[in-house]
Amino acid sequence: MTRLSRRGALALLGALAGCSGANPLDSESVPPELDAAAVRAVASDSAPTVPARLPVDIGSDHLAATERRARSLLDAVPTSLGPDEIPNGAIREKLRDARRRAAERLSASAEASTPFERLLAFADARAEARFAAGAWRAIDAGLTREDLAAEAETVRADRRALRERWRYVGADPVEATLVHAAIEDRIVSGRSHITIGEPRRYRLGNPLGVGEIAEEVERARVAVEDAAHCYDRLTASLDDPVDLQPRLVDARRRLHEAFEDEQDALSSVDPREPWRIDGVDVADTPAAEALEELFRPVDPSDDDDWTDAEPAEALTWAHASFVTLEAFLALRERVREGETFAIESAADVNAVRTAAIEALRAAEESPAEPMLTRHATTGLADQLARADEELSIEGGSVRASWLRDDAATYLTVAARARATPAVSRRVAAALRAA
Amino acid sequence: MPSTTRRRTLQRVATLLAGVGLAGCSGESSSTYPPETTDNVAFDPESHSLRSSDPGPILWAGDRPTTEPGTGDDARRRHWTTRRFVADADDAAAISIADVDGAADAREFLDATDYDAATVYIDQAGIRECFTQDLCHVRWSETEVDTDYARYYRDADVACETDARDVLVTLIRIPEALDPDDVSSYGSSRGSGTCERSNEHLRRRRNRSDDGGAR
Repeated sequence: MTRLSRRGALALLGALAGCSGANPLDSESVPPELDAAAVRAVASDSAPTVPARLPVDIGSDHLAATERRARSLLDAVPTSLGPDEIPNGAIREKLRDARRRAAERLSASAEASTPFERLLAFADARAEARFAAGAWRAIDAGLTREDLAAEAETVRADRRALRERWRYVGADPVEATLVHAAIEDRIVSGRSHITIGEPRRYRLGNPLGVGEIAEEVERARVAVEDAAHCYDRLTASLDDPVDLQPRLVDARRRLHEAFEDEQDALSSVDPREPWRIDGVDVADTPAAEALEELFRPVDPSDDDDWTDAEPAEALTWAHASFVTLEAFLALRERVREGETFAIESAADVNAVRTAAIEALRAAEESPAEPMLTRHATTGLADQLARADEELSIEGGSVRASWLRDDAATYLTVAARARATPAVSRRVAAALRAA
Repeated sequence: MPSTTRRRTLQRVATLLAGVGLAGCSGESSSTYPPETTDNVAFDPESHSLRSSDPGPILWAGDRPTTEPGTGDDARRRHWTTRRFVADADDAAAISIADVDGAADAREFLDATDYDAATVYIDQAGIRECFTQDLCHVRWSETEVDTDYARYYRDADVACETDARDVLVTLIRIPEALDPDDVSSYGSSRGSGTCERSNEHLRRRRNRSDDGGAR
């Protein structure tokens, strides 16, 4: 990495101009420009991927069935849709794009390193392929939105049936929380709602409107199927299916009370300028961006009542909230000590990115509550990958101020990753306490 | 009859607008646009549309414009976005229409307008070939005209390409005899919802304004 950053020919421009992108009140100088090739090289260096996992044994039969379904939906759409099949190029393009995305997700499933990642890839592939298949059948065979009503009703009935028999059972409360959070996400959240008949993106008569409903039905269907499978596998693994709901609800309450107490540490922070610290000027630096981003979700003036959330989901929120609070306080302390993480060279970008990667790796290797920790670091690794992707498309020369957001992402990823293992221990302790 | 003056004005306004396009309108409208309660609205007004994929002019006053197609994107865009008024029978007589679908009906629309009580506003803009639009409403005052359209996909069996553009001319009968000389600001919006929703939205806004004014 050192070699790459040194290779970057860094153009530190001292030119002064009155109409730069910089705030003239903050600085009279144009921010330095960086060699885009050097920045791209930094972003292309390997980064850890943290595949999504779910602590339940997802059956190979279920994976095979959902993959078959995805492939059959994909096969229902001709591979080479041209003007003969769909004269309207805009409609044709929408169908082809959805089909392409479905095929990409199917390819991604082959690369997936965990069964849960494969499950997620198939779910996405099915939804995308169903959009294309539904729209194509509307064009080719006259399928209408109303024709999908019966299937929608079946999915709704399946969801009701699952919700009726579903209990918060589990052996280990931490692992059970993660599995039940995934179930809540699929059958309580809006993901499995189907609302045929309400105003839509596409008009009546537009085949894409049929595709839109078909996609929604498929999304709901796969959500209910996957939730039912995960639940059945979980219950099958238990000798004594104890209902852990009271334990989850109790942990939610105690963690929420503790969190409110700890938010007192934010009482001196100005919610409008959470980056402002007496005697330290960090305005318009990555540090300021990062502090702003970390403060928003834990702003005490926002009444964020976890008790309204589903029990398992609330505990994942609790985990994320403590992580963010700790990350904010730790980063703020570093800023107070004089760090601004200013970006003036590709080496500076490399430094904040490397710190994020090291923090992610350390969290990943931490022995403390690996399931809970990885639940958090999966998302953090995705954020890092998105920042890398943004930097990898920079061309020509890059003004340092343009990199502020991505540098801030590396900072928040690092700060959150560092805070994660301890918070995992804490949330797990709350769940396991009698 | 101020026909000569009007015709000159017509040409001047058209020329001016051809150069200004949409961008030139925005600065003024916020300061001069009348409040919601005082401007006039016609929902689903009488109108007629002409569409052409030929880059040549569809409708013009006086001599046929000689701008050749393909003289650059800017020229084409200026050609796409023009507005003009037909304020009397002489104005109408001066209008020529290319040989496109609906040309005869457009001529009939112009000739059948009672210019003592109405003005025809001609709104011309580019549109992606695979889309079409409905006119939802027109709002106007003595100095401003504002149109609102609902844009949507053409049928799946309409042959079109995503990167091609057509020119769409909409002739709108505004039920008031306007003096084109006084109109200095223009606006146009295109939403992806239906006209029903757009019109309902405007009705509600206007009702709220009325209620607010009454208090």
